[in-house]
Amino acid sequence: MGNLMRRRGNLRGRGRPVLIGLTALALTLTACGSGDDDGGGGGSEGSDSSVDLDSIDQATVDETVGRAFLTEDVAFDDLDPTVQETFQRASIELTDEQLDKAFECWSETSCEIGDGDVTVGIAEAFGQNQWRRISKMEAILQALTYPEVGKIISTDAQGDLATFQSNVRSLAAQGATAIVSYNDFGAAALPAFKAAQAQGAKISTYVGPVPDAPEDSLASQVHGDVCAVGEEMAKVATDDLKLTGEVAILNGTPGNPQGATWNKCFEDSLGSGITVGTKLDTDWTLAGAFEAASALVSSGKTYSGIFYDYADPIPQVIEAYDQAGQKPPAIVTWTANNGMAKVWEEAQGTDRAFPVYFTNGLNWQSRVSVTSVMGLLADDDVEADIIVPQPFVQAEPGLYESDRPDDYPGPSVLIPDDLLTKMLSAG
Amino acid sequence: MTITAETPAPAAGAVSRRPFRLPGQGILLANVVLVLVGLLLLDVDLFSRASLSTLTPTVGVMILMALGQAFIIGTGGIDLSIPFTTTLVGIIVLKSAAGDNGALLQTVALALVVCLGIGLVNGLLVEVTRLDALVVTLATGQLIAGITRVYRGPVLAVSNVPSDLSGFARTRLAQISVILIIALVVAGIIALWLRYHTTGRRVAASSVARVAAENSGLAATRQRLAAWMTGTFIVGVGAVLLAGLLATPDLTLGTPYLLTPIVAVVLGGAALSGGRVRPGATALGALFLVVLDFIFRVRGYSSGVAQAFQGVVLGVGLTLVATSRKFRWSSISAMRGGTTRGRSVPDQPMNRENQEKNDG
Repeated sequence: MGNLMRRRGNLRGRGRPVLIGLTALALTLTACGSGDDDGGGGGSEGSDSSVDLDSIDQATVDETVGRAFLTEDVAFDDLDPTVQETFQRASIELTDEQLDKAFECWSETSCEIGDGDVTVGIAEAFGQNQWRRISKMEAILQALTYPEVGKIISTDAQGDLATFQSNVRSLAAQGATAIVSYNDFGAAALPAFKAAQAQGAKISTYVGPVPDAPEDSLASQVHGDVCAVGEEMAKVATDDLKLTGEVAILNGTPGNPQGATWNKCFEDSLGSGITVGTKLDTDWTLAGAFEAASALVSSGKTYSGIFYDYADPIPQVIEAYDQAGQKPPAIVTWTANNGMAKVWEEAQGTDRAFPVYFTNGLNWQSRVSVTSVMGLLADDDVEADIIVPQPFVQAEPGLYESDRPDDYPGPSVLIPDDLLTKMLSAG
Repeated sequence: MTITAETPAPAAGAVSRRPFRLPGQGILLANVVLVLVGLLLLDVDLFSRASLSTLTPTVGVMILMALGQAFIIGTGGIDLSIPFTTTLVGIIVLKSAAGDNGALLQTVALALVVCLGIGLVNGLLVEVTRLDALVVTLATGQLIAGITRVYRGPVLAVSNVPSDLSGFARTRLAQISVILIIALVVAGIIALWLRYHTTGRRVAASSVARVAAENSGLAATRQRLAAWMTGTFIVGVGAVLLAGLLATPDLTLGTPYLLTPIVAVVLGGAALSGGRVRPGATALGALFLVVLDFIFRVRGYSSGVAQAFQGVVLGVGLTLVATSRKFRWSSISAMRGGTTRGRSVPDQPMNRENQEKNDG
């Protein structure tokens, strides 16, 4: 991802994507004629045949890519073909009726969206926080671009592994042949995935990878290259921020494999004159982050940067520094968060100003999962591991969106503004 | 629940021999040792501005949670619904107030009333139907979690508590968080209430020995219900302040408060089988755990090491408590001709003798 390191700030204020009426028309027409699709279990009709993706204006697609990655430096042609198709479909303008249907599907656990034979299952392990809810809508919107999809079913295990496994099997039993999931349980979920795939379903997970998962358990995984992201963070530290001395790493739950991987790659890539002074666990909770930051400010050491793989608790980290009367160090974090943007903007122009580097919110990876399983059902070539770039961008003024809640995952969300407002109003 | 054995009247002069003891001497000593080790051996400056300003609010919240749990443990029960209650309170503060300072008071009142209701339901199920507290609170915890998610809805349009609440919860007096000050005031009030006020003594008596309280004419069940409600109310106060401190409470708000408050209560010398609530010792137990965790974090140890060490401390602490208690009571009993100062120790021959005498 070295070529992705030229950065720019948020995209807010830029023109919204130019939407393509012709594509919407084509989608509608193909939807009307899709009744004969054999999508129910690996239908023979390729997904490309339903919608003419080539008719979509490339400039619009590029704008979608730029919005998703928060930078224009990710070239469409460099992306995995499945990711390319994802962004092509994400650039399709949906009708008002489709957006209403999306909201209905998002609010309910089951909905009919057309006459297609494919049932899409969304298996949430813990679907309650805003990030998950927005990711779910991204998946629904992507499914709506497929005339082959007739029904969407979603489940939420509320953090319970046994329930999650049961839900996955249940989705397959209900005829879901395209199942997407954010897998919180790692390899422990594989037996249920395998059972569901044995019943004819194709399963794709997004964001959290299970290394070396066999394809008979998991047909595809969409994720960033965790080690490369760690190396990228080291580049930000040395090349962009030019940090020296000691930096601190904040991790989530103790011993989580994601943290272990990027920590090592980060440390291995650090240049001379910069070392990791401490690593603290936060359990990915707000209170845990506050306590970890409390330890940092009380240590008597000056950490020049904090590196974390979760943006949501950053306001609590900054609050600890504020309470201690210390200037926050540079923050480099995965994902984005409106609350983080707020505390960053509030500090600008004061002696507490600190730099922030972050990645996109990753929510749209659920769209890639949908496209990958639909491609697999259509016998398209789909990689088992779909790697997406995760470039870091620097926070710039205008990042904070005052009309969005603090846990809003930032400007990389690909949901239309009106629908997003409707979702937030539903709370 | 400890059964108080009747004892013969002590000999003249024996009463005056009862020495003055600070509540929770053991845990107080442990805290002193911990602070000294932190300051002198591990070079952790616990009294710097940075430490005090960030440590004291955490200590304050933990004290309140532990005090709430102490009331329940005092009845011989246990409350596993505290994390869920905490999260629910956070969501109520978030959603009901919707960031409006004008709605803050009624929101806090609503949250505390809900806590009283939860305490009442838990208490009724445990004390009236005599169901096991562990099972009941596990079930009600799940119920509360479900209600919380339904009440919260899919997403929140406002994810910040009212600024007045967060401003208040982040207030410091000489670097000491107002949350800790409130927690200490609450602990003091509880101590005074239980010791000097009739209603408090009734609650304490009914918690310590239900049968004895009933035989004395106290409505023990009602008093024990009051203990459940008081405990959950205090948890509610802690949860409101925690929500203010973090400003954007989410569904993980109560997660850290499942087991740690129980450990704090036990470190304070309470028996899980029930007994007198000792607010001072409970607060010291909470302080010990938070400071211990803080020292480990500052020194950069992984949370695994900290947890393992906490386990060791708990095991050793409980062993010391049990050993010293056994030693103390048996030796004193022997010296006094059988008096146990109101405590029963099953293997004391003299105590059994007294019991037989009373039965006879």
